[in-house]
Amino acid sequence: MTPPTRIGIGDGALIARSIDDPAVFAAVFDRHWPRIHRFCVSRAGAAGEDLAAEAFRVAFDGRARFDATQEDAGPWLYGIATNLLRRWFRGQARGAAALARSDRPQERDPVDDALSRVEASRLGPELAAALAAIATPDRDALLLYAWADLTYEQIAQATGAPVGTVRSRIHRARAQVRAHLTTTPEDHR
Amino acid sequence: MTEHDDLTWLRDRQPPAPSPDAAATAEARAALLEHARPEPLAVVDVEGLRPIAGDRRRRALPRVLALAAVAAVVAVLVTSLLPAGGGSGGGDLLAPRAAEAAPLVLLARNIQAHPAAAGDATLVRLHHEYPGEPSVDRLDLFADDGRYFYAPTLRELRRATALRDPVGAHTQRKVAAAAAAADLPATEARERIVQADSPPGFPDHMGEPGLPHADEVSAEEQAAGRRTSAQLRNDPERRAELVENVFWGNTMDALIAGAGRADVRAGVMKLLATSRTVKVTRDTVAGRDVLHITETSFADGYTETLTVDADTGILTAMTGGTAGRPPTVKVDYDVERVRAADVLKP
Repeated sequence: MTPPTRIGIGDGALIARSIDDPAVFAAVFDRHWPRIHRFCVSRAGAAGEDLAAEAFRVAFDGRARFDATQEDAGPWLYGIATNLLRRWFRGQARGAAALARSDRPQERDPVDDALSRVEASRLGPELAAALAAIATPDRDALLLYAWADLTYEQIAQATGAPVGTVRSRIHRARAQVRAHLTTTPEDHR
Repeated sequence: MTEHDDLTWLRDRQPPAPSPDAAATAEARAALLEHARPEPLAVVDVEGLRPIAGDRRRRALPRVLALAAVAAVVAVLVTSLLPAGGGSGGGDLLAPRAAEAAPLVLLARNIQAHPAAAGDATLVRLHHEYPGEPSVDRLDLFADDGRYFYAPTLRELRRATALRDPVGAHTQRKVAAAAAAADLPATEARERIVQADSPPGFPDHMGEPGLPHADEVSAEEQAAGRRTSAQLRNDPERRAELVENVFWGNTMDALIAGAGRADVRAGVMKLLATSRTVKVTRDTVAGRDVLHITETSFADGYTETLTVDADTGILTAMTGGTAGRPPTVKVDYDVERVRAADVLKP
């Protein structure tokens, strides 16, 4: 039986221990579930709850690759959640048959990752209009920054992009939002 | 609108997400523990001689089927969206599309004529300036084998551990796509760099996710979502703009991460030469001949400009902002080809 988790142990150490004692991973869940849940539900509505739960299962399966020296698994979990959200939105847009084909590179398309009907519904007309023309990697970085309160470095860890790229993406996305707000009358936003 | 109004605006409009209730938390926790439970020994079906695996995905499977059922009725979207600037497939990437492309085509040829620099990594010193915020200095080390390190100083870089890429080595794929551009037809080269950001399926170490059911949203919300989504998908101009934005972002990422590699720089110049929305101007900055390469496809007048050495194609600066106003971002780059072991050794 797993002993109670000591307070103060970093996520990396916990995850390393969970290799031999899988139940220890529950402590990682306890630490991060509320935030990952909030982010996923915010972006995907009720389905976000299942996506958040799935993010922890995916993380558990990939735990052997987590850097045990890392104190905070939050960015890693947000990265998995973001990937799941993107895949889920893409699946909603394309349909199951097309989704199955999406594993073939020649079938992928940036517009598949653009705002789907479901995502646009969830965001509401104001946000959807402001975010629709922003490329998905830029939008993902912006929302991790604005809604998950991750730093540039944490977003880099979450998305696997260089820190400078993250900065550029967020700046670009914010510039596009600002431009949209500047050129769109308030009652049409 | 001030610099921070857009963030406030975004945060104020974040769709509400109630805290998970105790039951949902308990259910998710229990499902995780069930998933984490060691796999039972396989039970052999004696008649069929087939092992019956433990059912670790019993919760997720019905949802995959549900997704299939829901999604099957969703119209399959048009697939190919690469703008006409990419050619019809099979065209020579070096063939100039227009007068705008000529400087980039010439530069690509010039870069290829230079001998490859020694080393196995690219060290990039960056200086970021954002109005109203403290400037940021940082070093990025991109090893050719895909490892990536960053730190504020060279001393700290020596102690840094490689940043792991949890979502599929995006940067590596962009660099590889740029390096391959020279030998590919224009359309294929563009397609490869555009798609470099989309992971090819789900990364192996993450497993195949059990996708949940479609969200239950009101008919009114669904109708609004359909309208917004359709506006984007059915408007050729906006679709082309979106693809071009991805193309620009990915070529820029490749030019930074592969800055020390002549094959990558040449590939990037050839790729940019295929774009109808990229404008090129010559200039002299601090006594050096440079090219300003400007992407003009963003909505509402926002532009980004890369400044590269006119002889080597090495990136020296990036600015972004709205035409006619001071830039809202300026990044200076100092690029060096190095041996990773020399930089990282204590």
